[in-house]
Amino acid sequence: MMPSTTSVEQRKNTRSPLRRLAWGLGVFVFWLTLWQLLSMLVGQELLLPPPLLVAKTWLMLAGTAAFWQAAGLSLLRVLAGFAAGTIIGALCAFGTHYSQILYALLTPILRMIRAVPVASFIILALVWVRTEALPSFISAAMAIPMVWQSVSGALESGVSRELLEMAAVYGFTKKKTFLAVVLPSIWPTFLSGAVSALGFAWKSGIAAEVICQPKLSIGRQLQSAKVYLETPQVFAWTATVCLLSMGIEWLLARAVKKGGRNGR
Amino acid sequence: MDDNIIMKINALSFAYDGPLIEGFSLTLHEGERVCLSAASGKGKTTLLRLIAGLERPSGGGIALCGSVRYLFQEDRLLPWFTLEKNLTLVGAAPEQAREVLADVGLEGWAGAYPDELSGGMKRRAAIARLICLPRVERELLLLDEPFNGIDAATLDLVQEALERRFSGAAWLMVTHKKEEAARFGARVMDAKFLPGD
Repeated sequence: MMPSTTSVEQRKNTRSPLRRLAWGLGVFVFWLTLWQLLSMLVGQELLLPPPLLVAKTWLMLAGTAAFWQAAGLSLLRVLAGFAAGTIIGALCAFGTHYSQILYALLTPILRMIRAVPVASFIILALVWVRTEALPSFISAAMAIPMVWQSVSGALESGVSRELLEMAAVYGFTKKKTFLAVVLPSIWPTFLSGAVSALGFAWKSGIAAEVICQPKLSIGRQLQSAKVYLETPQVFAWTATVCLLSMGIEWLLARAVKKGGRNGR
Repeated sequence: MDDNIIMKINALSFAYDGPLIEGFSLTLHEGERVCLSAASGKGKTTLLRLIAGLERPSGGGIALCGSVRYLFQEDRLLPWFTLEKNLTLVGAAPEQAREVLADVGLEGWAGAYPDELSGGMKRRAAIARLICLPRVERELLLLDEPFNGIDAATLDLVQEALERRFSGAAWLMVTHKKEEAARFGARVMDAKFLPGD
């Protein structure tokens, strides 16, 4: 038999919504069953709690105000850091693209931040930044090089020379050229870079919380659940992190799609 | 420079992987219309780009006494803006933009994006944008294959709109179709960009 020439991703996209839902449910049930079987095989809730116990723990936690306060504040910290990082990263990209001095000064720093492991960065930053602000600082620091790289790339190759010539010949001011030609050209790349940076900022922010443990944070809850050997709670908090991460990425991806449509 | 002269090209040279234009001279007076004729790749578009200031000559010079109004060989519309926005960006009021679009046969297309248009429609939109450029006293119109892809049904309309707007300007056009030069009363000139041509 001839092998199919369409990829799995292509075939997935051609399925009807109902079929896609059935597939998704099937996959979910498969992994849940596997988890349950593994948990039964291990036989110790401390090492691998069963999915039902984790769900029960999650529901119990979700019934408390502290849960929502911790989740909300963690989200706020990370989003504040991400927003600051995105703005700074984009500004750095414009700076390094248009100024030779800024390119020479900032590029090694940004490359270094990108290369340093998150854990080392958190421990280092703990010395300089107060506990409450550390997760935001780390999220920003992780987002900056990612946004810088994507915007720099877009400025390098995404702005049409032909359109810039048109703007020059038709007497566009610098501001008009930037707003009408440069910004719309780099916008899609900037947004997709921001989506990637958001995921990374979220994970780094939570990791920073685990290390510095600010009051009312997911990181602190995770750490204390680990210390008291409350493994189902560790799983429940991790599930919360995953759900929030997927939620904000979905929201941003929707905004990107909408932005792409409006920006043409 | 003579008061009546709008452009004087003197011994112009330009090299791009070897000489492309060498010692080329041309004088254009106000209201004069010239159509440059030469084989493809001989430097016609490069000459227009040099006049528009998009390339730097390697020798000689170009003296301009007026504003350049350049229709590129490509449409160069901003794909993320509607046709109306593309036109208002060069200085037209929205009402004027819609009128000019109607003049070139694009009535009702003001809210469309360039990627929704056929090649000929895009060309007409690019001409509409050229028409919307602010009027100044002395204008030099540079046209690079201006009517490529425009169907016969709308060609007259577009040519009339262009004629109305730039009736007083000096024209320098590049086209393979001699009848277009005749349509605008342009003098056809066999351009010799290199001494051996």
